[in-house]
Amino acid sequence: MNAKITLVELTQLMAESTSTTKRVCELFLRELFATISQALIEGESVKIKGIGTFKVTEVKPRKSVSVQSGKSIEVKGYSRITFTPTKALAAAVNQPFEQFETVYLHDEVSDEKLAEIDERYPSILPEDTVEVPAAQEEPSGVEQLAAAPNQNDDSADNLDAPSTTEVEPQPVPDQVRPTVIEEPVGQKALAAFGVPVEHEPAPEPEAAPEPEAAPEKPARLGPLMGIPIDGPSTPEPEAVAAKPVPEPEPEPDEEDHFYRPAPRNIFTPTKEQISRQQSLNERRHLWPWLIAALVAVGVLGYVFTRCGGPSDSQQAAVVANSDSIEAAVEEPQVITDTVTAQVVLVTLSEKYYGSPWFWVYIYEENKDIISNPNNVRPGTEVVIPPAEKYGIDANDPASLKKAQRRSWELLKGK
Amino acid sequence: MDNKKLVSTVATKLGRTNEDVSKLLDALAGVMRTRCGEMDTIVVPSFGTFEPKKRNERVMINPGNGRRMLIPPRVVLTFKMSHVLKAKLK
Repeated sequence: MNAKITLVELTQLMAESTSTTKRVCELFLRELFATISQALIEGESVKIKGIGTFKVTEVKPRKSVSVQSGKSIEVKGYSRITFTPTKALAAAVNQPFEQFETVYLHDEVSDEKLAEIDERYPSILPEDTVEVPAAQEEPSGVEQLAAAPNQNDDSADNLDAPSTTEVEPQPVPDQVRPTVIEEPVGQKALAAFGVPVEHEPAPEPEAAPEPEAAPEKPARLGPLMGIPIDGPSTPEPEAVAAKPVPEPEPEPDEEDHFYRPAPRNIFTPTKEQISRQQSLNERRHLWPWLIAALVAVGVLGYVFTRCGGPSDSQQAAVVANSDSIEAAVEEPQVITDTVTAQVVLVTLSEKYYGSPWFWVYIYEENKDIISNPNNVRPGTEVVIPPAEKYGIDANDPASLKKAQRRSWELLKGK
Repeated sequence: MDNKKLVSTVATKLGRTNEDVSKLLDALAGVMRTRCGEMDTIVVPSFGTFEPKKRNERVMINPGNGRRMLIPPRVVLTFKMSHVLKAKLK
């Protein structure tokens, strides 16, 4: 350690390792370095196997200012020898530090931010921790496409995050959900009231009477695409969400929410219709829908507990999904999901359709909300169209090709 | 001057075969690897000094993307030529 090895010691070491005499080694070393020196003096660079490269560089004369007199003087030019060790030698020398790697610094993550997240989500790993480092990189469309296959790795990191967003909206469609956009708000609002999960047994009775209720429905249909506007069944859960009535329901009107799912069989309301409908009926018929919403929360809780909580992520989502399909008796499902800094259209497409290429269809379904598919604002709630609507099939090459062509067209048009 | 030419030049001066010389050169490289890996300095008179030096870790900005990165500490092998060689070079 930190010893100085002279030529004598060097010859000794070499003689030991080559089983030759010291004399031979000394002669060799002297001759070797004399030859190298000679070559360097002639301005040649010398490359030695296993040791490195010696190079002569000329330093040009330059003008400078004398510190004492303040006069400008000329610094003479000179030659300099640079030595670059070979990779093997450099690695051998650097051996004590070889485990270190260059790392990028996350300047934007401060201790305060981390502490804040810890406070907000004491137990589980929250979505936000993943979002914080990712937030500064706005992925462009091309990057999204390129990065799509790797997204799995990312999602593996925040398994909890997608599951919470996923499980929540999905059980709802088997309940009353003509609209899509504001539903999660309604859910949260109801949850904020401390709506109990005691309605758990609800799904079974609910699903069964549906077919019988259907025949009566036409009598009650209003002009607006079959949404019943008269009678107590009219208002929507969103209305409840928007203007929550905190009083508890005195007696649940069973008949009413048997009717509710029926209209959904025959139409898919657009946003305008919904908002008109809402303004019409908002005040008039809050009660039955409040019950309906309560039941919805009950079902949600039921499915949620059955699936073993949010940590089951993908599985939970799948189970919840199949449950709701059974309960809804083949009704067209309206699935929504939220775009975050981490979850983009490509990710959603991968999640719901099994291939990133189908993001085009999600975009087309949500054209009125999304202005630029490359830059969807985090927090945007998007409708996931049913796979049949656009003939989406990840296993069908033709379908994939079609989606790819569409996305190229779209991106080119931008 | 590449390795081949160096070996043959030294071999003719010593009156030995190229194989012998390249073996000796490999031995020299091996000794340098082990001894410099142990932070020992090798001094060759009238040629120069091979000295391993520790470089501290530092923060640098990647000119490509402007992001800051932490360069880890490391040991590099430096060479400083002797005054004799320096005088001859000028």
